[in-house]
Amino acid sequence: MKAAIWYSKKYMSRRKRFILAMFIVMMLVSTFVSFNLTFYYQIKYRNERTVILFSRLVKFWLINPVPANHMDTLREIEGVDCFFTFMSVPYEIEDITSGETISYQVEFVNLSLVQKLLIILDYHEEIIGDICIGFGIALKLNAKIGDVIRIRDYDFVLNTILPQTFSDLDYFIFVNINVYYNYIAPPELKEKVNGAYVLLREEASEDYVIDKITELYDVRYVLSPSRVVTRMTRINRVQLISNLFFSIIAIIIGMSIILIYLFRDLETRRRELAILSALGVKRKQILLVVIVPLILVIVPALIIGCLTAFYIAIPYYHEVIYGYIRLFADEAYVDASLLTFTLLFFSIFPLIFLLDRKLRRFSPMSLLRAEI
Amino acid sequence: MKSTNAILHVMNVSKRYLLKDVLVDISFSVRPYDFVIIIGPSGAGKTTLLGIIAGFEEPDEGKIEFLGRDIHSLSDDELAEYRSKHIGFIFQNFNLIPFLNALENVIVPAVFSGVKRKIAIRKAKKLLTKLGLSDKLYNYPNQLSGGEQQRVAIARALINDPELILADEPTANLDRDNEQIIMEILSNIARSGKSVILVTHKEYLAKYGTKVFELVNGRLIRR
Repeated sequence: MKAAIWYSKKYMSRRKRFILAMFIVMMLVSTFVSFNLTFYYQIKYRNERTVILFSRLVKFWLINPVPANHMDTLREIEGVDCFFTFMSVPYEIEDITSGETISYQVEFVNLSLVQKLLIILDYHEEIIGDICIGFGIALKLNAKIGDVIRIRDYDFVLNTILPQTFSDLDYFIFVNINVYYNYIAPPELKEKVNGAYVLLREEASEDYVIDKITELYDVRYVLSPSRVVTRMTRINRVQLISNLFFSIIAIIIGMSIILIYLFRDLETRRRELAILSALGVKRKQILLVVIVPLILVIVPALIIGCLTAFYIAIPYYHEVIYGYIRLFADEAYVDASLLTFTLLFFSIFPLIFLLDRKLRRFSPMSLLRAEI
Repeated sequence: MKSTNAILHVMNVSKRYLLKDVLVDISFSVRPYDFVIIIGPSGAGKTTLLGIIAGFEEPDEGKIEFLGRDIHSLSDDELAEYRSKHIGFIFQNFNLIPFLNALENVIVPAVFSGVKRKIAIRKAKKLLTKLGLSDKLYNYPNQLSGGEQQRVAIARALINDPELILADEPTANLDRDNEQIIMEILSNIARSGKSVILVTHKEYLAKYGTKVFELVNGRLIRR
């Protein structure tokens, strides 16, 4: 192996353009694959965190808003620990300070709910003020603490941006429900709610609570721990299939280009490799001599490709498409790099097999006969 | 009949290409200190014979025994080891590796057979110095004359201290002066206890041989 590395380095020093071409192809493949897989792992991680968020949480929406005190019967259902009614309404939200505007669903609710949700995810931040926005929403609005946020002519000073939880909580806007009733709600919606968050006790039966809720209210949709798990599993599966499909296509294209490069290179090396064979270099060693440049190129190309995806492609993809720089969970980067390394590593084996077959045809006798 | 202290026995070797008998029932033995010269015109089968002895090709009939082992019964790896450790090959067109300098070219067989690079370099320097190339150690093949390239190739053939040197028309591409130098070197190698088999079409090189054969119509005739 040492001999093959020494020899290959000598060869590589004379074939810089060939090595650079292989490096660029490998780097592009690695960038694309890691970019693609990081999105998958980010979604998977976010889904896992959302499953944790909903581990004891039932959220339901009503067909029509009802007076808030109609929901008091929720307290009587066995297994309900506590509940928070909400009014969920789409609004145009404007960050006056940054000038960014988005149309988004605003949840008007008692903000102690947010505190409880954060505790489920192991965060202990204090909620200050009448509005708090998720980390993802803050990125979209380019919002900072102290910014003025306008919702339907009412201006809030933003005192709480939720920590990045990597769950669906990052994409929520919560506003104190009293502010809604006092300043924002149209007269017909005063003191009304259109859904509730229900926190279950540890021993509670999810099905029983849902049955009771649907008995008591005209429910439009219920989100429960098991439904969240089913939904997230389905999303993960579809996402994995699509991301893997495109990654594998990219690897096949990249490896085919590399194979063409290597085959063309082998043709120019027929004489040299026949000399090695005549000098008693074993076929395995000759194969190594051919592969070592690829391996020496593939490792830095993989690393640089991953770094390019993580620090340039992903953040600036969001910058270009959505207008803000977005960073994913560390877990997504780590898992994506591992899978990228694994996929590319295993994709070398077919190359080795094909190169070995090609090398079997190189005979020192043809060298003696000056055929090459 | 086998001679007792021979290292190489070529026994009844025949080779046919399409309908032509290239080698017919070739037999001879090579002992240490032998400088075997095989003379024959182009297409006489000299290179084929050398290729069979080196294990590049298999004979249709007969066998080659080297140090008591039939080389064509060896596995691929054993055959590579045989070429690497027991024989040194010198080619007509030198066949140096263009991106390695003289010193690096010489150490190739050694480093691939597991010798440490430092040790191989030390040995290669000694060999190249002995062959008069001490000032050309770091020159690349394109910076060397034909004679110098062939001397580097000889050093490469000797680096693993093989018992047998096979030389395929080593002076074909050289002028008379260089030819004489190379032949003297090969004679000295034989005199040092190694065996040399040289094939050539040049009759006048016969004077260097201790055993001279002629290849006529695929048959080997002792002179």
